[in-house]
Amino acid sequence: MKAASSRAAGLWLALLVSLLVVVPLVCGRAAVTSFFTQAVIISLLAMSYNMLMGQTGMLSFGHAVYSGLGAYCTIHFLNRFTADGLGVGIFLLPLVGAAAGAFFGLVLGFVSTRRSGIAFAMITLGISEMLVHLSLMMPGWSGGESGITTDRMLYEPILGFDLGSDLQAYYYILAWALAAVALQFAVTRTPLGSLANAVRDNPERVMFIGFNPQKIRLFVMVLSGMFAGIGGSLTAVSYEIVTSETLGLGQSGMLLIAAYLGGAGFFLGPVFGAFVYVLFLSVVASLTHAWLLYFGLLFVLVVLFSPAGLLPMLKAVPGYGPRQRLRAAVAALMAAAAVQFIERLYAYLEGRAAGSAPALADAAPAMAAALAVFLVLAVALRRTAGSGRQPAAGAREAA
Amino acid sequence: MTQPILSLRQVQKSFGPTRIISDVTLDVQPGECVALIGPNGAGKSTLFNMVSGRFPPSGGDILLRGESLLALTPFEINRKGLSRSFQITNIFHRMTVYENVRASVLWSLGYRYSLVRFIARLKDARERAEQVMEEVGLQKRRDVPAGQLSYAEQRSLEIAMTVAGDPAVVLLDEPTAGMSRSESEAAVELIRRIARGRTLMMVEHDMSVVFGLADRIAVLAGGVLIACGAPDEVRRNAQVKEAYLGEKYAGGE
Repeated sequence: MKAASSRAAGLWLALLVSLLVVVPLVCGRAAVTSFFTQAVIISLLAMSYNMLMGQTGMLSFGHAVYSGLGAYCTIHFLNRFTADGLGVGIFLLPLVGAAAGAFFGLVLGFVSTRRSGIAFAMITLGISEMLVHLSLMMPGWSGGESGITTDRMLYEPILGFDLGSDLQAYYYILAWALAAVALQFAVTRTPLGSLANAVRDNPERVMFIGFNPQKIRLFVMVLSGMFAGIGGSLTAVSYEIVTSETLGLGQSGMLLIAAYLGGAGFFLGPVFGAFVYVLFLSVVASLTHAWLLYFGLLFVLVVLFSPAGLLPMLKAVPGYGPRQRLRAAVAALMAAAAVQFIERLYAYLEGRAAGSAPALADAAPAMAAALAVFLVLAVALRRTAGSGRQPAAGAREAA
Repeated sequence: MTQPILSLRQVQKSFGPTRIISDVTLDVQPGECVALIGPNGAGKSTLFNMVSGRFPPSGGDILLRGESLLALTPFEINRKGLSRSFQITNIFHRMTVYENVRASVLWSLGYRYSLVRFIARLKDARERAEQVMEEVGLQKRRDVPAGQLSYAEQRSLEIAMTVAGDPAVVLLDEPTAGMSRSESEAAVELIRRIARGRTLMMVEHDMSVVFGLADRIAVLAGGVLIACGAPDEVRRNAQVKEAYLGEKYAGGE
């Protein structure tokens, strides 16, 4: 059974990788390439974050510090030597970010990993805020809010490769991200990876099997900082700009949300979460101004109803009985009614803010109808809850 | 007389003004099985916590093979060959049984925090983990997440993790607590097996377990060691009867 499930995981992985390789090439549209570039980078960053949260049980609010500093160091390095000056070395540029991330992981982690749990979370929060302000006080180095820019292009192409097009940059980024994720997977299979899981489950017991949990936390912090630094380098290569905002809490929170949303308990959970986030950021955002509200709602719903994340929820779907399928359909209809309500409300509020003053009476009936449908469905879902739960639990155990 | 392997010298513990342990002095000889008994709140677990390094005593000294453990952390004490189990099951609940045991053998095999090799390829770690699982009868539950084991199985895993690193001295904190009669009998057999070639100290409430296993019984009441000797001797001791056994037998156990 174990072999079968790992074979299935292998197939999914192969499918995912081939999609990542083929789709941007076949589509050839700038929007698709940019979507994939962003999703791949955020996937890698969220995965590096999950080494802390999902694998070692360390809730950090300052992970963007490592990716941001990795990006800064990469851009400074690139500006100092220029793309053409680096030549073939441009292929190794993310090593600069890796070194920076690991270095700062060691230095800052030396302080933060002395504590665990809430104290650790608070220290990471403090370090993050401190570095954002420090970077604003050093505009010469950080470029402040407007950031510093660079030029990744090789004016003397190497075998036709010049990093000029976004598609070339995408494959550069994809290759590095895949290599980094493969390495991260290898780390989970080492003694240290196993001990990290032990620290996540029960740091106290780790001390009584001969290991120092603080040291394990520090080592994992260095590694996750290194991978975040690689992600930061890829951000620098992709956008050719880095601002002090990239060090901050907003960016860190986004990584936390992506990792949690996808499923922190699963190796590839953060990748899934990152793709959902970028889907909202690009596609949903182009459809509605309320996209961030929807994303927030989605996150809250996942935390409430599927705390293990979206990935395990989707995995459970094929095992659903007829009753659960019906309940899922009702939940989907509820979501549609909620969207209807929110969109009408947004349209009305935006119209009022713009001064066109639409009558509330025009919007009210549709909003009331959507709300009524939502409430009726909610009651229906609640009524069917008791009997629907039992087979679900049974099915999960059988699987 | 040989040098005691574990030696408690006038060990004291106070939490604030409250004295929990007063001047406990006890020598444990190599290969011996010492049971620590006493009414609830007598300070038995506190004593274990001090010996295993969970917190330091307020006074006195604790020696392992003549070497003081006072300044050492729990993991340093563990590396010196003293390993303990917990009264409340203390395992890695999301990891499988095998992963729990394998993590517990790593240090003794010298792998430390290694990052340069795959854990699945460590033949000695695998063999040792499998041998330990066999010993405690968990080999059939190898790939089950530890959190899903039955209570008795979790207690066995607790013991497996405690002895996985092949310690010379083992402290067991109420190994049969909460077990049924038959589970408890199986646990006694298991403890007897793991005690072979090791020094054992255990806190235990079940008198049939205590009298079945212990070479010596130490009785703690109100933080004071009121008696220590062979089971028959302790059974006859009037002070002990009053402080502990009397109360226990009167309770209909």
